[in-house]
Amino acid sequence: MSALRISGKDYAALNRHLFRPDRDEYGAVILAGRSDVRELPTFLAREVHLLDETEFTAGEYGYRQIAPHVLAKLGNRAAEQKLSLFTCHSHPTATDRNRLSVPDLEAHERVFPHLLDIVDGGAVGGITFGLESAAGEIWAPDAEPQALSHVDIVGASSDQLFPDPRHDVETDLRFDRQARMFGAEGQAKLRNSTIAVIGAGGGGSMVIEQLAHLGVGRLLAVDYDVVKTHNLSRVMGATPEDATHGRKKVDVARDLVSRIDPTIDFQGIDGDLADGPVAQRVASADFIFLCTDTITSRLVANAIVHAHFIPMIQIGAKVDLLNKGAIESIYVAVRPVFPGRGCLACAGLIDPTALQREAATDEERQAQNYLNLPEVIDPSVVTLNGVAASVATNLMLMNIVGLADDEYLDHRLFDAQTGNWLSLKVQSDLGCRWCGSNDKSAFGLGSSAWLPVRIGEPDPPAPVASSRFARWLPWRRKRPSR
Amino acid sequence: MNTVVALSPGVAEAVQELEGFSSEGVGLEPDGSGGAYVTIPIELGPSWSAGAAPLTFHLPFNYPAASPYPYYLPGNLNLADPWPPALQRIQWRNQNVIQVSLRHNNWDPHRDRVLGCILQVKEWLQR
Repeated sequence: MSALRISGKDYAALNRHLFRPDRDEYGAVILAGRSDVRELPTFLAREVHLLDETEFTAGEYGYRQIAPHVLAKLGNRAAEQKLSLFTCHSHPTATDRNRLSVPDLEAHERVFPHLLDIVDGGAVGGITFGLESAAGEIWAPDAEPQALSHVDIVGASSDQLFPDPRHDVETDLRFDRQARMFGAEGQAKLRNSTIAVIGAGGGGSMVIEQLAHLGVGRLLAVDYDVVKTHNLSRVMGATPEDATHGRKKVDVARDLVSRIDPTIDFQGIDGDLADGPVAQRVASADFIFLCTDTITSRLVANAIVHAHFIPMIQIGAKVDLLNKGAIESIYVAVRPVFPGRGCLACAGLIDPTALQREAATDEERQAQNYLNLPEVIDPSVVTLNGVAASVATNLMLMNIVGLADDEYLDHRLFDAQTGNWLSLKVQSDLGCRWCGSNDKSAFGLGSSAWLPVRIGEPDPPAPVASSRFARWLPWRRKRPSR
Repeated sequence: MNTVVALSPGVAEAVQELEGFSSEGVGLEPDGSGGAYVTIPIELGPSWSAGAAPLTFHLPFNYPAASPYPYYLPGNLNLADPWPPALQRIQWRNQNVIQVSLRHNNWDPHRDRVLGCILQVKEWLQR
C-alpha cells in the first residue's frame, strides 16, 4: 500500500476543477516525487496538470479518456524529472465511498504497461476522487499493482480521503472534555499522529508538555544539549539535580511525558537536525515544531517541509536591546510553514551570513570578530515561550482535527509590550529552491531531494587536489609520507 | 589507497565551476561534513610582496544557502602601506594567515555563486 500527499493549495485547485455544478467527470494528471522515510511509501504531488476538454475527451472504450498525446507528453516529463505519474478523474456522484470502476481498471490494463515504459523508472497510477473519498491503484515497475491507501491533504486544515468512511472510535475518558470540542475522530487523529519537536528547551519543552496532555500517539524530540542552571527558569520538568548532573534535555522531556501519559511512544534523539540521519527521522513525522534558535536547523526544517510535505510551525521569542542594555522591543514569533505556501527563505528568515557563521569553528568565529564586539547573550523569559508554545500547539491542533482556516497560516508576531498581534502573509518566490515552482526546486521531490544536512565522510578526511595544483597546497607538507 | 570524497551537491558544483575558472587547478580538502576547504591560485596587485598566492576559503555543507566568507592568504605575504582594515593577520587551522574580510552583504543563494565572490576578491587584491 502507498499513500499520496498533496498540498492544500493544490488540492483546492484540483477539487474545483474536478467537481463542477454540471456534475460531469473531469480529469487531471499528477506528477509526483516519492518519500521512502514514512511508514507507507508516500507519493508527493509536485505538479498538478488540470486537463481541459481537448485533453480529457470522449472515451473510445469508457465514458472519458485522457488523450494519448497528453499522456505521452506528461509521461516524458515524468521521465525527465524522475517522477511518478497519476491519472486522476472525478466520480461526481461519489461522496464518502468510492471505487475504481471496471472500465477504469480495464483502461489501466490497456494503458499502464506502455506508460510505465515512457515514465521509465517511476510508478504510474490511477486515482478517482469522490467529494470526500479517493480510491486508486499504483503500478510500479516489476511489481503487482497495489491499492492506494489514502490521500493526505496537507493544508491549513489537514484531511484524509479514503475509499470508505472511517469507523467511529471511542474516546478515553481522560480526553472526554477536549473531544467534546473536536470529536472522537479528532482525538483518534491526534492518537495516530507522530509529532516531531526540534529543540527541547524553553519553547520546545512547553510544546512537548501540551502535546502529551492532548494525547498525541508518538512524540519525537530532538536536542543535543544538556540542562544547565540558567535553563531552569524555562525548561518544563527540569530540576536543579538535572542541571547539576547535566542531564540531556531529551531525557528530561521523556520523564515529563511519561508522568503525563505513559502510553505515549516517546522517542528522544540526542542529536542535531543538521545531521542527515536525524533529518530523515524528522521527515517521517506528521507535523514538526521548530523550537531552536539556529538558522542551520531552520534551513533544514524548511527544506523538509517542502521536500516531504510535512507541515511545520517555527516559534521563537526575541528581546532586542539597545546599546546600553535598554529594551528596544520584545516580541514572540509563530510562523507556520506549509507546503504550497511561501517558505522561511522567501520570508527572508534564513540569513546566509548567519549560516556561514554557524558553520565556522569557535576559532574561526573569534578571528572573524576582529572588531572585538562583546558576545551578546539573548534574554529569554518563560512567559514569552509560553505564548509562542500555546499559540503554535493550538494551531497544530486545529490543523490536525480539521478546524483551521487558511488565514490561520499567516506568520504572527506578538508585541509583548502592547499585547498586539501582527499578521504577515508570505509569498512564495517562484525561483525558490525549496518551495518554488521550478525544475530545480525541492518541492515534492521526497527522498530524492537534497536536504542541506551534514553528510557522512570517510575517516579521516584527506586532502585531495589535482596534481598540477599540488605546489599551492598549504597543508601539503603535513601529509603523511607513504 | 583511494579516498572517497563526500561533498554536498552545492559544494561539488562550486568546485566544478572553480576548476573551469582556474587553469592551475583547485585544491580541495573535505571538511568531513559535506563541505570543503578550497584553495585557488590568485594573482595579486603590485603592492604585494608576491605576484600570486593561494587563496583559501571554506564552503560549508549547506553552501550556497550559506555565503562564503572570509578568505585567507598565506601569512608570509607582505603589503606596502597602508594596511587596509579588511586584512587581519591571524592563526587559522594552525597556520599564520592573512584573513581577507570581504563579505557579500546581499548574498542571494538562488543567484550568487562563490566564483563571483572570488572575482570580486581578486579585483580588490589587485588594486
